[in-house]
This record gives sequence, structure tokens and C-alpha cells, in this order.
Amino acid sequence: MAEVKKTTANRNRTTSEIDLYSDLKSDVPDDLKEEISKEVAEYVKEQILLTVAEARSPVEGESFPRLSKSYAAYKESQSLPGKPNLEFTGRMLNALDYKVTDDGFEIGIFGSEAEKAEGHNNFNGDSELPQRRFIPDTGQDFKSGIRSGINKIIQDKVAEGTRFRRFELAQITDAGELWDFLREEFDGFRKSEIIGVISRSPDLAMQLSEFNLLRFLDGEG
Amino acid sequence: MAKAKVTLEFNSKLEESIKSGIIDQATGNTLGQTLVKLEGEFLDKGISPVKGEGRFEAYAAQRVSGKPKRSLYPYSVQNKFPSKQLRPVNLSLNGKFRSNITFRVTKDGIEFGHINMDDKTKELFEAHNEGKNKNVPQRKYLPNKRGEEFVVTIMNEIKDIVSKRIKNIIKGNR
Repeated sequence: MAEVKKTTANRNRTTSEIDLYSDLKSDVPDDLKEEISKEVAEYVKEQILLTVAEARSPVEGESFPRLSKSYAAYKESQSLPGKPNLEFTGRMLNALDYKVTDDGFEIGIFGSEAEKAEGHNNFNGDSELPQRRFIPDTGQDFKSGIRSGINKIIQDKVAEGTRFRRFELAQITDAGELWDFLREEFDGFRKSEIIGVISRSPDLAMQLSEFNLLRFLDGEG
Repeated sequence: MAKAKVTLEFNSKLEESIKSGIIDQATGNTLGQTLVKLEGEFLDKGISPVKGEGRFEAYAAQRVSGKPKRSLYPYSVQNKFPSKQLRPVNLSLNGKFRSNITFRVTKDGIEFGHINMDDKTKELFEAHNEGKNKNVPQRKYLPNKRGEEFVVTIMNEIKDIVSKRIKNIIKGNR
């Protein structure tokens, strides 16, 4: 999930294209894909901004080298924090954006700030700046916390439109029957993922609670 | 005046959730405290906690081209507040405005924002959140209009808290 398919670094964009769906075990309906992609892209954009503000990379295995003492002192003399948070005028980070694609989304810097972004990310390998990568290259991934967040968003969105059929819930009498029912509803989800989805949705939890079925989620099935 | 507080509802059944005990008072308190903490984390970094808003617009001294005058904010306040920097744009000078952001648990959900405001807080709320001061760019920090919501990051954490509560119920620990 969230595999980097391609990166681009030119005068107009420095971006990563992320595929959300190829590795998924369960099928995501096409009409949901755009909505999911947009929600995940929004989340990833937030996480990039939050992490970079802490002078850290959101990319697994990457870190931000400290600023030179002279440059740090210069930033502080300009009323800016003397840390490598990729911000001086603020224009580059203001240009962080995304576009939804068929397979997920493309995220990075679009427009006139793209070359500055490539200076930090160094996808082409010829930047002379210390590498401070804030979007992943092919073969890289976001940090585990971000990946976990992406996973939850996708599962929540798939489950969002779920309405259990009351007459079927009324007929369930034990954990085994409940889990047969839930595995059919959430095809491709692991047991822990099904519990996660239901527990993150008071609506689904209440539907099960109405028929006193929540207790069976802890049982064998 | 626009609402200075928002009610966090997961869906139309939140009231039933509260009545049924799924969202109990303790969970409501945890949700409220988490909202305050996360709101603060976003503001500390100059990022709006309202979905789709992105980073806050720069202070006046960084919105001009060339060398900015010392009369522009935040240079204009640095004699009295020497630690106030150009970035992050964190809606904080002496801390009073942001410390007014709080919550309470009601039967409809969790009310979050300026539960009680004095005149100065109201002035800042209307300038920052509502964009009513033409000299100050709008910087939304409360999703108080129809169609607005908190950022995905915050909603994910809210769902995690609800999940923990429901998992406890599943285990029989009401």
C-alpha cells in the first residue's frame, strides 16, 4: 500500500506518484477510489508539513542534516528558527500540493518552487545541497506512523457506506455466525482489521450493539 | 456573530452513542483534551487545523517584497516580545488568545473552541477565523461553517480514541 511508482524532478514539478491500490487484498469500488485518494493525499500533505516543521523527514530512513552554524545564525538574525525546517520565505512549502490520479495521487511541489524542492530531495542525484528529502523516491516509503494512518483512512472509507442488514443481524446467535457474516461484508480484511474498522465507527458499533453482538467480536470466528 | 465554537459529531447518532454509553463522559473528556492538544500542535507549526486550509499566510513583514520595514508585524512588537519570530505563524503573542480555546462535553457531542470570550478574544477570533479585519489575512483555526471539518490527522486520532473505548466495551469493560 502507498507504493511510490514514479518521481519527477524538473523545472515545473518535483513530485512522487503514489499507488494506493495495487497491493490491496480487497477490491476498492471505483467510485470510492477518488474519494479515498483525495483523503489520503490530504492526510499525507498534513503529515509532511507537520514533520518538516520539526526539522524531520517524513520518509523512512531519511533525516535532515543540521544547518551550518553560519546559516543557522543568519536565519535567527532574520527572526526565523535556526533549524533545518526547509523554510525561509515559506514559498516552497506553501507550494506543497497534490493531484489525484487513477491509482492514487501525485504529491510534491508544483510550479516555480519545484527546482528548490529538487535541491532538497535530490531525485536526479546532482544537487549540491545536503539531502533533506520530504517526499519519497521509488523504493522508499513514508515513515511507519504515516503508513499506519494511510491504512486506517482506506479501511474507514471502505467501511463508511456499510449498513448491516437488520434481518441478518437478528439471526446471528454466536461468534462463528457473526464472523462468517463480517468476513463476507469486509471481504479481504483480516480479523484485526475488521475489529479496527468497527471500533473506529460508533455507527457500525451501535448497529451490532443493538442486537447484542459486540460481545462476539472478542470470540473465535 | 459567527459561532466561536464547534460541536464535534461523528454522525447523527452521536447523541444515541452518548446515551447508549458507547461515548461515555470519560471518553468525551479524552476527546476534548486531545482536540485541544492537537489544535495547539498545528497552530505551533503555523498550519491550519481546518481541512484544506494548509499553512497560515505569512505575517505582514514577510508579505512585502524587498527589505521589510521595522514597523511591520512581528518586528513591530519585538521590543516588548523579543522571542516573537517571523515564522511559525502561530497566532500567539502572549498566549492568552490561544489559552482561551477549550472544550466541554454536552449531550450533542463535544463543544470545542471559545466557550467563553472576552472582547479582545472576540476581536482576534473575528479577525483570524472570520477574516473580518481587512488588515489581517484570514487564518482559520476553527471549522465553524457548514462543510468545514478538522484536518484528516485530527479526525484519525479522534477515531483512535473512540476505537479504544469500543474495544473496551467489546471486552466487557463498560
